[in-house]
Amino acid sequence: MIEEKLDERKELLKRAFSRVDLFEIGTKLGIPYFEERQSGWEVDETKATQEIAYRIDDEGLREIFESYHSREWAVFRGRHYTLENGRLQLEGSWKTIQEGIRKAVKRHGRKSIEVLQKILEAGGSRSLETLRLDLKGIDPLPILTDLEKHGVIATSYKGSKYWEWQILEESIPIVQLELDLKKRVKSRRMMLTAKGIARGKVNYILEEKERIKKKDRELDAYLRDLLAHRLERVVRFGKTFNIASLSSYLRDLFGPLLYFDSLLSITQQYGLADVEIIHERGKTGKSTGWSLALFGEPGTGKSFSTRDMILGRPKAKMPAHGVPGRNRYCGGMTAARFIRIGQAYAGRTFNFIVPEFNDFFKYRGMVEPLKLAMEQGEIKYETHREVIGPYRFESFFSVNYNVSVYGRGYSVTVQDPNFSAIEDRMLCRLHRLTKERFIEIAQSQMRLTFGEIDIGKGAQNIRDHVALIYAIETRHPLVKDRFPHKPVMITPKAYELIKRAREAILSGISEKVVRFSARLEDRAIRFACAASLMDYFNSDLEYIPVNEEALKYAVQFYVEEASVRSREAFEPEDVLKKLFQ
Amino acid sequence: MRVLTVSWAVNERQRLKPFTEAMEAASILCLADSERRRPSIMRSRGEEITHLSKLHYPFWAVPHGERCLIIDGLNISSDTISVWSLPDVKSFTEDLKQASRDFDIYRKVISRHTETFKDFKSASEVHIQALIGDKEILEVILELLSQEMHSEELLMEGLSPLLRLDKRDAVERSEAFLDVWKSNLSDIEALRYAINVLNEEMERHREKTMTEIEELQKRYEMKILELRPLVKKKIDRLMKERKSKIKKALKDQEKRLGAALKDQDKLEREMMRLEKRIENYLARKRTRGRRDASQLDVKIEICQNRMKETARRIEVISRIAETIRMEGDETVKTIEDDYEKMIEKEREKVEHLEASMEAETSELRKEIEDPEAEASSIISQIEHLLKRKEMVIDELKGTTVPAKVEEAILIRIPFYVARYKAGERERLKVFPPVVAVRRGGFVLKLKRAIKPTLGSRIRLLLHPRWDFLEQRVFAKFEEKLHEDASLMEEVNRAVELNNLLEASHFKDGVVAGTSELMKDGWITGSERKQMLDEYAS
Repeated sequence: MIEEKLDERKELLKRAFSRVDLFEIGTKLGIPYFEERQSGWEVDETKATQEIAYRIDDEGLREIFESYHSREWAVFRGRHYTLENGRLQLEGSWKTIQEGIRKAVKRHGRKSIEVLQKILEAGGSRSLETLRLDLKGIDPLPILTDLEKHGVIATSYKGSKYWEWQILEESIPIVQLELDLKKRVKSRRMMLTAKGIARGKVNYILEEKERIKKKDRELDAYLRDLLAHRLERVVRFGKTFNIASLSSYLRDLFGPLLYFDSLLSITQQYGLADVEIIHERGKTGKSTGWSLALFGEPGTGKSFSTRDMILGRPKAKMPAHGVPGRNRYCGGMTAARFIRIGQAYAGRTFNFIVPEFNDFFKYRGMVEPLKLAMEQGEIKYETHREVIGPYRFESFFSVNYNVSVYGRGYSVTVQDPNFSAIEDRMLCRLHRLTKERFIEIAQSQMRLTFGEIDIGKGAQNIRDHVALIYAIETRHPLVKDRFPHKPVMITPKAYELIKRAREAILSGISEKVVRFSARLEDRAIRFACAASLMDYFNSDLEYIPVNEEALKYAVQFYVEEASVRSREAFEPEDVLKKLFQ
Repeated sequence: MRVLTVSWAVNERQRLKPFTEAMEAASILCLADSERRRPSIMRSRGEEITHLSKLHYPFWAVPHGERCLIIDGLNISSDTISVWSLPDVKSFTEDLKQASRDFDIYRKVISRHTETFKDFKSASEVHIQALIGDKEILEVILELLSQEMHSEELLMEGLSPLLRLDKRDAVERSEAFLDVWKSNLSDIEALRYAINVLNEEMERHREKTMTEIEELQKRYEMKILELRPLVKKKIDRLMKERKSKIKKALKDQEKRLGAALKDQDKLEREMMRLEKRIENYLARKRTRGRRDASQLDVKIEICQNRMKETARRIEVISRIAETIRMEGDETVKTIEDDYEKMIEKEREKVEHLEASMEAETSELRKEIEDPEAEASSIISQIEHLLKRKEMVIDELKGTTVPAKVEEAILIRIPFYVARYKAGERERLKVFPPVVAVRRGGFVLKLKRAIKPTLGSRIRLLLHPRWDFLEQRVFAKFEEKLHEDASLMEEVNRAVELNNLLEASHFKDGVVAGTSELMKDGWITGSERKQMLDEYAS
């Protein structure tokens, strides 16, 4: 919902203001992107609206429309915002559109549905003449006039004898939904012969595919702007940047305890490129992508470290650090819907941010498909009404969920007994609300509130860097001819260190049973390799060697995680001290 | 802070013997002395040199990307940059965007803006104090930056006391230039954007018009497609009808003609019979002689009369036949003409549609061509402004030096100042940097020999290093000294603080230097003695 609203806000700003106005708005808001430019003629509208949209809320949007003269002729009819005659309403138009469709149906019957369907099939706009040809024997003009009057469609072009209408891009989903509802009523009437038709399946996927296209466009626009204006700076930044500098940046911002979660989140973004990990003699079969789970009691900053750090949160003055256009926020989404929309992502690698992962397990039977999703396997989900898939899921997750934390260990609030299988497939991090953590959270909240923390420039640098690395390592067409793709090379020394950690951990556990699987080691290695991608510009080699500092963090994570999973059978500090002495 | 200090005197390329510091001290003293006003008829008291100082003229090289800007550290020079403000690009592009959905509005917008980019909205001049824009001075600075960069040093303190703009001031001044530069770049972006938007909109309206044309053609083609078989059918029917009508007309004609011809044939046969009968009568008349002759003559006459009558009747019938033929032909022709007209009319139905289609599509093409021609002219106008703005950027680039500096560098160009005093009157004289020429050559020796005064001989040895720098910087500096009391005060203070006439190292230099100059024949022994007595004792 948040992401959808952000997208709408971006589109609304783009439609309502010229680039010169956007520049003035952005400059007044003190956004670094605008401060780097001399005038509005130098801004990229997509990037500009994105930068502004991320930094304002509805109140800010209202203020902008009050202070700046928007285009009188611009129209926007979204789910959350409406713009007509230069006036902004902080409420959507979808209800009006639904009513409009119903009124048209009442007056013109199914012909109006046919008209809308033809417009939709044509990609959103259609001319009067074509509609006349489409709907033989029906004069579409009265229907179109009515639909326009009710705000369902708008004139998109008027020539001397040519007339074209469109369904505004932001209104397409609601029109689709309405048409689909009509179709469903009809199919129910026609009945039951068509038993088991997947309700809304097609639309979910279509909608999601549209969203993916939008996200691709967002990444492309971001990269274009980066290459045009900031490339030299990013490369220079990249030459001094690594896991240690990221860690010190985050430590300065959030303190010595809180920083580690954000470090994991950002490192995971580097890993998203899913770069191949090699060793001196060949392939390892591994790659840098992994899923992240932050769990713990409510209020321990889990959402902040994932959602806010990656997507940004204007209200909390937190700019985005994640790869643009590669994170899909899944707040409020059911697991079933997730499994359905997952089809649209087959063959693509995105990061799904799930803030309340617990909710995915409210319904039985979700563990298995999700387990497959975590393993990047082939998903097939069947109910008595529909069959989803099979399709191969190649994306990753950043999830948060609540657990009850005890003095030692924790217990998940998810009832499904197989949930641990899911946990086992992610890089998990327990949040315990210790006094120290509490103080750090309170302090950083206060510093953010009073504007003592200025993340703007740092965030922009990191985001530019991670976006460029992602683009290079995924061989994005905009950069593939400029920078070579490099795999990450793991060394025997790295394996040796992991082995030593394993021995130290096992020697610390007195029980005969080990409560964590070998996958934990795999996660640690993937983490180290993802973190090493930060060194891309530091090395002239054809590969990126594993960074030693990254290995230390990986071992730290391995030991701490093993301790949590073993219900703190050993003190991680003791093991770490022994390893790094 | 990085400081680049230049030498006051440099060797001419052909000069082999180095021009030493001692020689510099001796020469400048000789020059300063030669400029001293001696007592004369007009002037009762002669001047004395009270002070001689080596000062530096400061220039700042402030970074500007891969180049640098030169700022006059004494804030004497200035440069003026022409600034042309753009027409209202925003309202132009916004108008176009608004017209994006309506061809009629687009046409009006284009017509409204045919003059918008004809010229810049206004022209003004930005005066940037201390900015050096003089190409020749910039060339000198470039030469210094590229050749003498190795001589840069780190000067922590004790900078030239003559410095009216410090590093921060210099950077500030360069920012005024930078503002103009950026504003021009921004204007270029604006004009490019205007061209892009106009191109896009042109393209959009052309595309829509093409769609409209296509639809129109499709509409007509469908009509034609529907009409063509109907027309063909009708034509076929008409042709068939025509054929049958002609056939019938020909048949009627034939029938009537047949009857006439039959009568004619009968009469012709009658004629032949009558002719034969007459021949018979004539033969009988020949054989019988006079017997029955008159009877036979009567018979012959009767026959002849009957023949005449028959011939008349044949002629009548012939005329009738001719009339029948003509009438028949006429009927056929009328049928043919009538049907041809009907067929043509049918054919015209399709042709008329084709012509309408052609006319309407041409009209639409013309509709888009007119604003397109206007839009192209607007683009040419914008491109012209763009070119001019790019030229401004080139000119501004010309105000910079193609040398990259990491931070602002202070470039110090040395000069000597002598203070002369005659009673209460004091004056200052500036000696800009020089080039020491080679010692020999017959002509030079000759010139040296015929130069009567020491000053004129030293001027043969030391040539101005940069003529234009003397004229445009140091001459201006001397002028400014007279106009600007505070500058005069600053220079006087600097001169007093740094009086070489009181410095022992300078005096030592003069001693050694005059000896060198004497060896080289630039100064005589007595002149040397006089100089030493006066200044180095």
